[in-house]
Amino acid sequence: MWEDGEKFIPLLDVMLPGGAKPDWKKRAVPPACRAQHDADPSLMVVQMIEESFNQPFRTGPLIDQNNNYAIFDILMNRAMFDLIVSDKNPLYSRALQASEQNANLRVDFPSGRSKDDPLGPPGHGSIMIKVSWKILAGDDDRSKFHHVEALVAMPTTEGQQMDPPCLRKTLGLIGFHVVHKTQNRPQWIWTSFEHKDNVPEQRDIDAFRSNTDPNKKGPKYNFYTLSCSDSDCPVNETPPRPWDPEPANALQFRRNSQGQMIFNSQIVRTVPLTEATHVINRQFHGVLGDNVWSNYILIGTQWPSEFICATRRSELQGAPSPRTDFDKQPDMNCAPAPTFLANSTLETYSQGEIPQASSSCMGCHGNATSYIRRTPSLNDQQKPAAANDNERRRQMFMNQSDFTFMLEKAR
Amino acid sequence: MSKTIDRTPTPPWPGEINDNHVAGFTRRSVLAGAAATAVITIGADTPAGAQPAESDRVIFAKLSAGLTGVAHAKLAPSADPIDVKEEYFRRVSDPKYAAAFTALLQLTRAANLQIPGGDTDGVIPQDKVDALASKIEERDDIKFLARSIVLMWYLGAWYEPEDLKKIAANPKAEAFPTIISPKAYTQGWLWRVAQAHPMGYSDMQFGYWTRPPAPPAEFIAVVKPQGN
Repeated sequence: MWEDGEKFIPLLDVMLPGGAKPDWKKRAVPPACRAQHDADPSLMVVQMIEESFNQPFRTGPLIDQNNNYAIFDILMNRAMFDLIVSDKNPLYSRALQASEQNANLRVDFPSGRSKDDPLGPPGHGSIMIKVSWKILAGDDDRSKFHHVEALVAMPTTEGQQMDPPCLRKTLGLIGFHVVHKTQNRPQWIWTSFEHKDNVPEQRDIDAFRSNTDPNKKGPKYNFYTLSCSDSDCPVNETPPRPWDPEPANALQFRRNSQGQMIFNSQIVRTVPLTEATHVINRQFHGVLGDNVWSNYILIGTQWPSEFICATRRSELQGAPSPRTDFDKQPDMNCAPAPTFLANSTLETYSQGEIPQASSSCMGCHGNATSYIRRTPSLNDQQKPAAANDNERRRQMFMNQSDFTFMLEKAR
Repeated sequence: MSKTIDRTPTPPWPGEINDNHVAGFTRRSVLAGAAATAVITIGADTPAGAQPAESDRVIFAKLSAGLTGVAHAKLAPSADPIDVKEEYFRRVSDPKYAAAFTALLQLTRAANLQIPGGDTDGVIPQDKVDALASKIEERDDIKFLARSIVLMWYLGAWYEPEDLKKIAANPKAEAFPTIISPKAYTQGWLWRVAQAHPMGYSDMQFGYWTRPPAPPAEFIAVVKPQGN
């Protein structure tokens, strides 16, 4: 898996403090974690920043039934890393992105190619992963989770005098996105998985409540308590503010003055899985058999469905391969199907089907940008009139970062 | 309580790949092999004389493409995750319009509109549409229903045929359209013909406002990529 550091690297090990150049083989170990990491280098290190506990667009944290924060992390594969650290156009710091060296750069991560593709060498192309972890504690059954032993460096809080604590935790995987750029789908293909016990759908709740057996026991969910009423446990609500984890609470959500829990997330999957998704899950679970991965389910795959749109390439002469950075009108996402897709642990509070508000992988990521600037000579007041279409294309300043927000995280 | 999404199944549009359908023949089921022994053959090996009659949905899509001037592939793509056409079909299928809609569909079937393929722009030729339109205009109920359909595609709003008839007789008469749905609002073709987008909704690329819009054909026709 990605934890071994062979095939994927965490984003925070690429976008280093001060814009330092990253090294594929080196992992940044926060000072508070060093002693424990030196004693056991096999431990996965998770550096927490706000995005590690607060969901996209600061929509809120997720608190499990044991009162622990869910933890999020983002990783990239070697193909993406190599483009970011290239000598010709390094992108691992804000200063470098904004430099003259990168002015007007068109960001175009490599596409995956099959071995039969005559247009280039075979390879996986670019893959990025976003994961959500649950701290395994209490009566959590570890055998049901893909789990790792980890050191979790808590996020720094404003005004904090000392390094935040580094906590030894067992993390259980509860969700992950796998995003893959392919030759025929340069808008990337967005797939999401979850642990099967994360949350119920409404029909699961209705079935439980309509069961009149006084001894009934429903399944145990990671982020829903069946025995709690809607009035006592409002559904899909964010926790009360403030949201920042407090060092003294060691990744537990704060309690009241009597030490009682004040909030656990009560989450319902708003958009039910399709029957076709259930079918494919059953089929793959049949193949996996008695394996921990049988505890995980596909939620869905969002893919650009308009084929002609998806096969377009830049017409700019000399555009670097795979030539997918260009003026993408009128629909830069090429009709994503399904239109909306949300993971109940990663986009908990933006589930739904409201255009431009509810979670859509491409709808959101299509707006990702970077610190890259326009070549000064191409500022509107100074640039000469384009003599031909190619010159017009060359003058165009895109500032799109190929569907990833990673470049915005440069320091 | 959180509102959950209704997954009431809708009949698939022939030839459509729709991940949102509960019906068995979907992209997912093909990938999973579940449909391996239930392949539906449409047209390829079937003698022309034995072709099944086109469904009302298919005819409605052709009618809409003809009357709006938008490429059929844009109005009713084979993979249609948004599927506003189903909403529109159901609106027009209201029993109140049954007689007129049935007649309109019959005229469209008889017109035998063909969808241009190959290297064309996918827009049904105007002369074919004109021939159909001349038939439509012979009856008021069909004519004004057809106008309602055109406005529905362009504006995402429903104008009662009776109101349109009154306006035709008296330009000062008023109509009181209803927005069909939020989805219909965002999918109005008016905005695309204008090379723009509805207020509050855009599929366009970040920074699009700094550049001239793409040509109208990119919005409403089939434009094949060049130089790939």
